[in-house]
Amino acid sequence: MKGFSVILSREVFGLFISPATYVAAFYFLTLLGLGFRFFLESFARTDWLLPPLASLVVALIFGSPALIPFLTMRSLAEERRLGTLETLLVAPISVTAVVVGKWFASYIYFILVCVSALGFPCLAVWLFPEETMNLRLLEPAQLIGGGIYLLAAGSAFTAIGIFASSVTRNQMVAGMLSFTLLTLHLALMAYFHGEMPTDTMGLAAANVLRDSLGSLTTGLDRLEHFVVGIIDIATLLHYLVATCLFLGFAILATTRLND
Amino acid sequence: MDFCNAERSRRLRRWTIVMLLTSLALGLNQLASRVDLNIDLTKGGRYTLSQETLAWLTKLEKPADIIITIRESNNQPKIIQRLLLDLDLLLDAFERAPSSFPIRIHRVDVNARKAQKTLIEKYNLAEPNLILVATQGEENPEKAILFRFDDQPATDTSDPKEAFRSRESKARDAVFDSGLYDEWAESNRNVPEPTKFRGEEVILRSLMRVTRARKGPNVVYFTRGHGEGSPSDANRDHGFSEMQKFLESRNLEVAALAPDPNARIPEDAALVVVTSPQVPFRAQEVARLRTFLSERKGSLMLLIDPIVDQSIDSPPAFGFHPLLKEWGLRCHDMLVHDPDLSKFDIFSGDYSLRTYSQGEEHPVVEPLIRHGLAVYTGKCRPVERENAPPEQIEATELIYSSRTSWGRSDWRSQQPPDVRDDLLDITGPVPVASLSEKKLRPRHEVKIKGGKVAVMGSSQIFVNRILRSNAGNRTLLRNLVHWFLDESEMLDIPPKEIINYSIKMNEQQFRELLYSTAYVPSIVALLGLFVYWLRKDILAS
Repeated sequence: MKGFSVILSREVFGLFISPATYVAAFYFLTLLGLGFRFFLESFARTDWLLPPLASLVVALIFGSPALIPFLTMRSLAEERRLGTLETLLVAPISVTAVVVGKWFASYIYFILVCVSALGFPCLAVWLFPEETMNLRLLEPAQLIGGGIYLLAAGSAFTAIGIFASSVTRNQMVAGMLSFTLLTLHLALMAYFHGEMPTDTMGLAAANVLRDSLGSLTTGLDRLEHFVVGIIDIATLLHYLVATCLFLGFAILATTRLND
Repeated sequence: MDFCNAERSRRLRRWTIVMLLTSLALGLNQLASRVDLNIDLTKGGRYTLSQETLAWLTKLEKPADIIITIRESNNQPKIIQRLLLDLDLLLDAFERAPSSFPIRIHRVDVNARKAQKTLIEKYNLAEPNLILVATQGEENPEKAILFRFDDQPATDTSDPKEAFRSRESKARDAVFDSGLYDEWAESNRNVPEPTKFRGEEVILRSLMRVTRARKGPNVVYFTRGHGEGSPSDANRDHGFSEMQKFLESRNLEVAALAPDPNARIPEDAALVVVTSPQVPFRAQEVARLRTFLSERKGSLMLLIDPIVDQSIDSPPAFGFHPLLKEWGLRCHDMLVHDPDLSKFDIFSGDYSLRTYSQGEEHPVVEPLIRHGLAVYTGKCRPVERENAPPEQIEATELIYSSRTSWGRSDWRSQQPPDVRDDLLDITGPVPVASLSEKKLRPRHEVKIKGGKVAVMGSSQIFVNRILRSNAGNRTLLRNLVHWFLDESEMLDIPPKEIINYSIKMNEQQFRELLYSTAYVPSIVALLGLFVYWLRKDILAS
């Protein structure tokens, strides 16, 4: 991928000097922090089955439609609107490098937000070590499991955002499209969570369809496994496939300009 | 060149690529779903099957299905939600484990008859809140019920004998009965909660029971013809249908034993149960039970009530006296009397038995002692161990009445006030349940299993109403069946500790935590302001 590092450094620089990304991260982390604090309070009254870190991972996953469009909507749509994308494409840089570079920059930013969110449990443990001891907030297995799930889901979600940005020249439309696709993805995950498979068209056919949809049908069920420290390789592969698919679509949509 | 056609073919090509990419992704997802690889990062592999389980799974003789008809919902009692979560992780491990035959997990909604017709019809599923282990691909699959929770609104408010029980409490009872959890302790919310999960062992036992070839008889016969209680009778106060349901859930068949003294007890008999006879057994009938016990190493459970309307010349213990004597037991024609009203349930009037055998705990009552459970009964009679039991017989007294009680000898004629006859009465605690086992000791002191006899001094212990509402009685029945069928195949699978997440903070500390959550977004805001200032500076220069 010729020019990947150039695109990546340019995009990362662009994201870090844009006030919009800081504003988005500020609001996102503020809401996340408030949610986390009130969720912790509920542990004093309710017996939660899953660890509190699970709530943080769920909040980051379900909050991502409010964050990812801000990170990705400008990337290709703005270039297209300004007419710089055509210029970029005639440079000795492959389309794949452009798309993957932009995706990777957004992904890095998403990871940084997730790492910042880890500050909440760390703060709770630092300020109240004895009171929060039974919450096991910094249990390595849960941290690694939850972190890996966020990395996997985040890569697919940012790829969806990049794809939304690649099909339009209006960044607002790209943002809305990205928000809609991510919300739809999460709604389907929530719908299929704990759903019992049907066997009307034959159990085998139902299972094939279910397996083919990958993380859409099993994502939220598997999240429960990751947050207690079980890494499910199939789920990671599903998210990898989703990432490649949407990046492939984005490359295809961007290549259209060259035709 | 026709540019219209060129544009059309370009579009067609693009959509073809989109379709191909989508198909490829679906196919890859399908392949990825077949990757049965989990990495357990937890300390000590909390969610990984033990080596012993893995070894046993390679010895399965048939494929098996595990069917769950419990619907996942936030409306389910908390203990059921915990069970579903723990089972989800465990069953996943069972499904992925390398076994000689596949184990498949099915989650079935019994109300969605149309959608899950095949499974519902195959396993004749009608009940929700059930966990079932069954053999796959057979016309009459072997089945064992792991867990059953009757979620019907149970309390009949017009019945003063029935105390109100919440859904949570009923669910806890059902979970306790299943044996899936162990070491219950009072939580900080003053309700009993489990501290250990024994799911791996319980599921493995059920899998072994249904999939491995049956090694012996598996029918429990209930005697008929002496006014006994019936296992098919659903009557609350006299029926034993709950007992039948329990036995069937253990993959045992239940049948009636015809009162024909000349016929042998069928070859498939694993256990013979005598439930509350009203008239004595004839000597020939007792003789065939004797043959069953001694020659075929059979098992017998007697549930004998103190009967008021019994003629003075009728043989003691309904004709079982000589047989019981041979087995080192004695069933007196007495009534256990307790003047202490605190030993009686305030609603039902049932008598609670909380005193268990001292010294070496018998495995039948060990869980009752460990969990401090009481066994409830109605009127009961003493069942004692003979002072000098015959050779090779090991008789044990299991459960006793309280110290304040005594066994009244001439109880039919005595009128209040109750006066103890120090000469004829038995001083409390009075044994009301005892069992006996014949252990053959040939050379080298190797114990060989003989017959087994258990005698309860009241049939009320296992009657529908009491069995349905008391965990202690159900535990006793479960352990007795284990003991009779010799299901103590040793599995050394350590239970998994349950992690409870809790926080102990006061209002002031929660407020401090709220303020502290502002640190993280504030750092981001400061960084943003710095970048904004830097950017303005750069642009200005």
